[in-house]
This record gives sequence, structure tokens and C-alpha cells, in this order.
Amino acid sequence: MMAFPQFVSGIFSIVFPSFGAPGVFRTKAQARSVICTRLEQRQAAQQHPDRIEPPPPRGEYFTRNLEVCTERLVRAGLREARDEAVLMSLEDTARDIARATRGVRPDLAHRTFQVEAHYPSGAVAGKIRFATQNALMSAGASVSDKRPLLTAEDVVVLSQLSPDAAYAGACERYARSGGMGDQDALVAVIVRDPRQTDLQAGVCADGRWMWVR
Amino acid sequence: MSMLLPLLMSVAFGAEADDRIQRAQLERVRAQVAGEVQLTAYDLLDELVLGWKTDPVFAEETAVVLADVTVPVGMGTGMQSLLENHLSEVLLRNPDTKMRLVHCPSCMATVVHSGPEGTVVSRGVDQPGVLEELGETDGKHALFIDIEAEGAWLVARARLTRLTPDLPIVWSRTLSTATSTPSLLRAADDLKSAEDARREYLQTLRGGGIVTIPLRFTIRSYASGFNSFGVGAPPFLWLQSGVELAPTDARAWMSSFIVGYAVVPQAYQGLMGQARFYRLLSGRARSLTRPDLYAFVGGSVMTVWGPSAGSFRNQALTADELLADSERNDPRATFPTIHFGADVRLGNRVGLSGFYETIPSLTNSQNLGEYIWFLGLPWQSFGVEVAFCF
Repeated sequence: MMAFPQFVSGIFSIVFPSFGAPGVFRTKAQARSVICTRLEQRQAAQQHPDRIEPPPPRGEYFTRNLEVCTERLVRAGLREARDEAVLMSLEDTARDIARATRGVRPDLAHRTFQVEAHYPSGAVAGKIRFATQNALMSAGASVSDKRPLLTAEDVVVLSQLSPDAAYAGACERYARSGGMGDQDALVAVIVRDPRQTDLQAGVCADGRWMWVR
Repeated sequence: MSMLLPLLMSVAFGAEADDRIQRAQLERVRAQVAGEVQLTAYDLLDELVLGWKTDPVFAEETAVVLADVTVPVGMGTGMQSLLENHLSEVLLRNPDTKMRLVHCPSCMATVVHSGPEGTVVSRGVDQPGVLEELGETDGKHALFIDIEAEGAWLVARARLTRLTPDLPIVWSRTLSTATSTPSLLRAADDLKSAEDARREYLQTLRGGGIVTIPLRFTIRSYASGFNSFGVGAPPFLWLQSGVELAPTDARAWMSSFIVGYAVVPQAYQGLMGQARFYRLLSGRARSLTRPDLYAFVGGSVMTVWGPSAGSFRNQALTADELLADSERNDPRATFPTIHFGADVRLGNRVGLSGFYETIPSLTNSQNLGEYIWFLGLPWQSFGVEVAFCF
């Protein structure tokens, strides 16, 4: 049985939820327009010295937690929903891909990585590629700005295959056509389904394709 | 059918108009967001250049082509130009970065290359043939910058690529900043680290004492008494100046010590001394960008003389007294006052305030009424001030 104070507290938190949550007086759209982080008072005072006072040296009778809410930089609806979802966590995704590449293929540590991104929007693809290159550099890899090329005939053939077969086939063609040398490796970041918002990645080296994420 | 056609046409035109309005609204929102993002993006570029100053990528001066600057998806090329110009300006003003910006038309032009493996249409920087001609001879590098909005964070990515056929990336960096963080607004020729800028900001907020000289123009109006025989005091115009002291630059607390003079020929003259204490209500420290609101309380001593000073008596003025005043010396009154009010300051340079004032020695005056009754006292005067601080 729920104690009365807990019941009141529960009702109160539904009617007047914290800033980042929707409630009776705050719509879902309003709640989604901000990103909130919970901070301790001392940390919040360091980050916002003009707005938040540090806790008194002898402490207080209660613990004060603060929620610092920041409006999203780009409002909802301004960009394509999928682009927004991909860009929102791009830095984390890129770091994850770099870590997975180094973890799954440690034998490629001394190779020079090339990076490709396959995404419907060219602008977003460029950003995915940039982020992955930087993440690989931060992970200590040697990275090149080169992109392996396929001939027009190869593209026609590969585009008729299933994604799994196409990427493996492209990887094989890169090795055979000399687009990638013995000291090169390719990280390809891919969206396989139009509804997909998480990015997948594979590594191509010596004509062998392997999914790493 | 003839009625249906105009109806369908009007619906079609209406939908087109809606589209136009929506597009215009979207463009307005885009411009607004770009304006907000621009200063933060400048900060990130300044931080990049500061990094190159303190830890140069190249040992010797090196030619660098600003190959590409991309802005957050959804924002236009206008912002791209602003960022390019800002980066160029900061790099030019900081030659110790060892980067010399060069123009490379063949790098940025669209080149069509046909070979046995196919035909490739791309920029010069993406063509090995073009790069062979450039990199080996000039040792040029290409700088790529990408700014992207990721949630509440603005992320800047930069990479330097040597323009040789292998296109090795020789340096890369990713920086991010929360958009809620105020922009540092660093001067291009005096770049500072974020730590130094923060230290200066805190020093400004909490630094040493400050003295300002205010010049105030004040009008005091006095409430008329209820007694129909009473003669109310006219509005008094004061010119005041003195010193305003704050213990810290935060200016959360302030005090002022002022002297004033009032004159309207044939009506009155006056002198006053005033002390006042202020408390900032609109934050913990004065704002550098927004108006500040203060509450204040203070006291003064005034002496006024002239035909209009006769109202500052407890008894109602009679016709005999008025005649006697005009024949003999002008009446003189000296009295203390207490006041409280609110003051809005703009950049600590211009102030606008309103206050109520009571004259404790004249609380029973039949010549003066009160505007409000507060703390058991009649507040007989209401004043407004415009202050200019130097």
C-alpha cells in the first residue's frame, strides 16, 4: 500500500513535473524542445556563476539538485526527422565506429584508413564521413582523405545486388581494380534502410568485407 | 460544373499561398537560428586558431587552402560565408599560427577527369591528377571545417590534409560547446583561452570596488491635503550629483551619497543631501547585456525657501500668512525625508527610477496629503528620476 506522502508526491510530480518532462501545464512539444541535464549545485555554480550560487560551506539541511535545460539548437521540424536523429548523436556514433573498427580488426592498426559514408543526403553523408575520420584520428589511426573509386560498370552491377552482397562485392572490386592498396583499409558507414536512424559500419581490407557495427 | 471549377481553383491557389507562407516562416526561423548559432561558431573557430597559436601544426610557415567550410544542415550559405570570413580574418591577424592562407582555384573548381576506369566529375582537391601538380611542388595543405548542431551542442570539426596523391590527414580536431554558454566574443588580435576568458569574466563580476559619478534629474510631486484651506506644494525639480559606491563589480549592493540643488525663479530654491542604499533584484551580478532592476531605500535632508516653500508647515496656510510671507522674508523649511523605490539601469550608464517619499516631521500637515499609506506612514511625495552615470 502506498504511503500517503508518497502518493501526494507522485500526484505532485505528475501535475508539476520537472522542466524536461511533459505535464498538465507543459506539452510534449515544449518538453521535447529542450535537453536537460541534472547537475549538483556545486557543479552548476561552476558552469553558471552568474545565475547559481554555490552551496554554503557548511552545507544545507536538504540536498538541492538542479536541472539545467538548454533549448535545442535546431528546432523540431526545421530539418528532416531522420537527419536530425542521426546528427543528434553523430559524435558518439563516430567514436563508437572508430572503437569498433580498432577492436574488431586490430590487425589493421598500421594501415591507412579511407572513409566512405552512404547516406541519402549528400550534406549529411559529408558530415558523417568527417566525424568518422576525426574519430579514427583521435583513436590513433592513420587516415587518408582519398576515396576508392569504382568503374561505372561495377556500380551498375553492384547496385542490383542485395546490400550484404553489394558491399562485399564492392570491397572485392576495390582490391582487384587497384583502388585500394595493401596498406589501405576502408571504413564504410552505411544506412541500409530508409527508416533507419542508427548508422552501420563495415571494414574492407584485402578484398574482404566485415561488418563491425 | 461551372461553379465547381472556380472553387477548385481557389482551393489550389489557397494551398499554394499556404506553401509560400510556410516557406517564408521556415526561412525566418532558419535566419533566426543561424543568428543565434553564429557567435558560438565564431567561438569555436577562435578556439581552433588559439590551439594553432599555442601548439602550431607546422614548424615553418605553410600554405593552406581553405578548402571547405560546411555549416549545420538546414542553414544557408550566408552563414558559410560569415564563418569563412571570420576564420580568414583571425588567421591573418595571428601569423604565429604558421598558416598562410592561399587561394587555389584549381582545388576548388569542378574538374572532369576521364580515364580507363571511367569519368569522374569532382572538385580539384578530390582529383589525384590535380593534386600531383600541386602538393609535390608547393607543399600545400587543405583545411576542412565542419560545424554541426548536435542537440544542444555545437560541434566544430577540423582537419588538415596534405595535398599529395595519397591525401594523408596530418591533423584533426573536434571541439564542442553548449549553446547555452555565452559567447566569449574574443577579439581577433587578442585571442584568449576559454579559461583566461572565464577568469576575466569572473573578475569583472566579482572584482574590486567601483566608483561612479551620477547626474540625476528629479521631479518630486506632492499630494494635496484633504483640507480645502490647505495650499499644496508645487512639483520640485532637482539637479543632483555625488558619488555612487559599490563594494564589488558585481554591483549587487550599492550606495550613493548625493547633494542637490533646486531652483525655479520666483517660486523656490532648495538644497539637499541624500544617502541611498541599493540592492540588485534581477540577478546576483549586474548584467552586461540586459537592464538591471534595483530596489533602494534612503534618507535625505532638504532645506527649501521661496514663496512656494510655505506649504511645508503642519498648519494650513491662511490668507494672512500668505500676505505676511510676501511682505517679509520668504518662508524657509528644513526637514528630513525617507524614501524607497525601484531603479532600472541600462548598462550601468542610464537609470530610470521612481520612488515614494515621506516627511516624518510633516505627517500631520494640512497642506500635504499622501499617495499611499505604508508602514504606518503617509508617503506624501512621489518622484521620478533620470540618471546618467559617468
